[in-house]
Amino acid sequence: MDRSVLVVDDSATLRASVKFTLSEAGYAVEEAINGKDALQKLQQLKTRGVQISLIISDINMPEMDGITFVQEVKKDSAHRFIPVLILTTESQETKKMEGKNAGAAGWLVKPFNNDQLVGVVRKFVR
Amino acid sequence: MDQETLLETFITEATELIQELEIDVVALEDSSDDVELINRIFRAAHTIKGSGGLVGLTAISDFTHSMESVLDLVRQRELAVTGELVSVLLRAVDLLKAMIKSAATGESCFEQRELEFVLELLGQFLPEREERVDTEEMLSTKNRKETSYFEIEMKLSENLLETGTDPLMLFRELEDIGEIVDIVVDARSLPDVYNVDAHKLYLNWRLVLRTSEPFSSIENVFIFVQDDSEISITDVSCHYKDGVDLRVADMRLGEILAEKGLVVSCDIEEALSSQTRIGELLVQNGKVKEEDVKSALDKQLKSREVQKATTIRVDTDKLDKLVNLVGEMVIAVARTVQQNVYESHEGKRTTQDALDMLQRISGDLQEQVMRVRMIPVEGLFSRFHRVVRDLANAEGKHVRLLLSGTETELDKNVVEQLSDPLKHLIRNSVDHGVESPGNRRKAGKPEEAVVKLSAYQQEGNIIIEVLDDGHGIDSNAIVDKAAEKGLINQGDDLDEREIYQLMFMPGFSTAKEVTEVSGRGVGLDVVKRNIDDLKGSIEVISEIGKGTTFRIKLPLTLAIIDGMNVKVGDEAFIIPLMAIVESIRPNREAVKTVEGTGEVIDARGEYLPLVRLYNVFDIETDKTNPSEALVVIVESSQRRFGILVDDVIGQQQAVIKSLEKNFRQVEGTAGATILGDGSVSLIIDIHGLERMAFKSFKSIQVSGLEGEAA
Repeated sequence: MDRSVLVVDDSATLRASVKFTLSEAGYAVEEAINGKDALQKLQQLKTRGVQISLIISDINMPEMDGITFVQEVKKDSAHRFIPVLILTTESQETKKMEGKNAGAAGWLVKPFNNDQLVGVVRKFVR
Repeated sequence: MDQETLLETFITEATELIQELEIDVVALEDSSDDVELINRIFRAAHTIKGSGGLVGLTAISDFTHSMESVLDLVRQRELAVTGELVSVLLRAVDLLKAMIKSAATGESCFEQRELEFVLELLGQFLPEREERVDTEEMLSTKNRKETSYFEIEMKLSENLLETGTDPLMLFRELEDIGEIVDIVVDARSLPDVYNVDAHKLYLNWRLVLRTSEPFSSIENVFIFVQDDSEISITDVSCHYKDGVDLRVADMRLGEILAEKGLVVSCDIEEALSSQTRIGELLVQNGKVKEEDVKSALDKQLKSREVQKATTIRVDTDKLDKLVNLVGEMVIAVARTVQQNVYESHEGKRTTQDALDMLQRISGDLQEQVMRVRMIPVEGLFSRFHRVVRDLANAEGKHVRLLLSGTETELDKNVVEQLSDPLKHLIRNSVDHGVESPGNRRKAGKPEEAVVKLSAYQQEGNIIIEVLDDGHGIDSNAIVDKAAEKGLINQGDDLDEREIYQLMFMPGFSTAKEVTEVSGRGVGLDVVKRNIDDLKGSIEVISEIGKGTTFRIKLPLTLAIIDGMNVKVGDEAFIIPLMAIVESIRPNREAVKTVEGTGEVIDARGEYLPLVRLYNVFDIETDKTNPSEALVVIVESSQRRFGILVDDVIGQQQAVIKSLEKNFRQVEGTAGATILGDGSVSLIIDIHGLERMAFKSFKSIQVSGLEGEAA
């Protein structure tokens, strides 16, 4: 029950790939396509009684980018203690710090392989 | 730190390391299996290499690299320790010493040819082409596949929870890569319950992780928290053995508990103050006597002091100044006390008491300050292993050097000045004292001869003995030799002590043949002169077939002597107490004039030469009649004689001030001191006075002239 992860990315391929890997590793995976969608999803999941243990979010997304999304999550007393991992590329060193400052708990550098993904998720959710 | 200080630091460090290196290399021959010893030798070479490179002494760094390569083979058990290897290593150590000296003085103290040759010698032990072994790498990663212990200190950010990071996850992750063998939580910043903010983290942790993973794996655990938290990871494998923290052995229970955060220091102090000491308990139960407990505690305390003493380094110049100042203070206090005694009336009783206390305290202070200058003779003594080994090898003898009383302390200057005479005596023992293995077998002795170097304290003096179990010295041979050299007359009646003293006369040598080591132009007379300079004495005890002992007696320190204050006319002199046998007032008949010898006095049946101090130093006095004055009988290494003085004032300690430094050398004196009343008094040098007074005596005259020329 505690092992639900929310993946926020506008790329369906990425969402699918993450969902597949994490499901294999025994996690339940929820999806959202951008920050705004994710905030609504969190609300819905809460009313359904599903507790999210970790959020993995991309940065560059339409409607609401990852940084703003993290800031919003951290403002919301209902969700502020959910750790957020941001997805960056190697060239986005500054974004990494930006995300961190916004309240992200960590990051994952794209491209990543399955082991790296599970390894990082395991840092937060067992 | 500038370049020069850096260089100085290097030279001090390297010099110390080389000294230890030399001792260890010599020891290696007998204990080639001692892994710790081999590692120590390797580390010493490695450190010199590394720090030499740091200060830009590439020649030293390169040379020690070659030594290190050879030592590494020994460490890896690929090269056996042989006598040849030890000899080459010692030669390398000698060269290294010279190279360091060159660096220190800026002058070239070694020859390039020797450097090339030693490198070649070392090269012989290396495989065809030496692959450059990165020892740095070796040292740090030698345990890579083995288990390591890391101490991890986690000072996590107070806001860590805000990000959703749970510290517990960090521990879980650590457990994935190893085992947490020890963990301590530091809750000191936890506020009282009303002030706790549930969203903040108040706890810090320190833990020890046992893992076979590399350092980077541990760093990886903290990858997301290290930016805003303080995480320190230290490899503490060297403190752990079989999973046990070796450091705990030296800790007190209270310290261990406090480190674990289970108690705070005031708890411990409170508990300690109410605790009955083990010593008291044992005394209460009648198991031991109170004084035994006290002496054991004193011993412990002393041992700890000695242990501590090895870690402090002070400029000797500073110490000398301190000693001097304290000396001045003692004198000033003595003056004040004396002044007060003269003027003392009933009302000044309290002043007198305070002064007495001041005098006692300043005396203690002086003693302690003097003690600061004292160092154990261990460093000096252990150097001789090398001397004995080299010499014994050269002569095909088996000699074992035993050391005892190495913890005995002596003034640093004395220790330094003892090096040469002791080296000479030890060479003497190995060279002339002990027999060849063949001769020893014939004499029914073990083939391995023993030379023993010992030090101990006796009645305010330090005794140093060089003992061998060789064939002993034939006193008849000495007498014959001395007569042959014209040092004595054939018929002279000499007792054993006097006979042995003949060996210390210039130009005396009993070595039947010149060996490789004798014939260096230094005789026992030089040893004697060295010991005289230290205000000590030397004597010989020998038994045919059993062995010989050279016994050196030294004052505890050079800077202060116990003396007898005597008066001649208006002048005061100090006679060193060590030399004084007794003081007598002879009756009229006891003083006689003997043809060719001068005046003698009859001291309990023994006729001793009489020296009139007022004559020697040309002082006006009306007490020229010995029966109205006093004769102080003194003993030099050569003879006993009487010194005629007006009066003996009393015994006193004298801080020796060098006349030579402040004025010029005055014959017959060993310096000056300031008396309690502020006047200056000369300190008599017994040997100098003897030389002045007995110039007619042939051998002494020779020795005296040489002494002044040197």
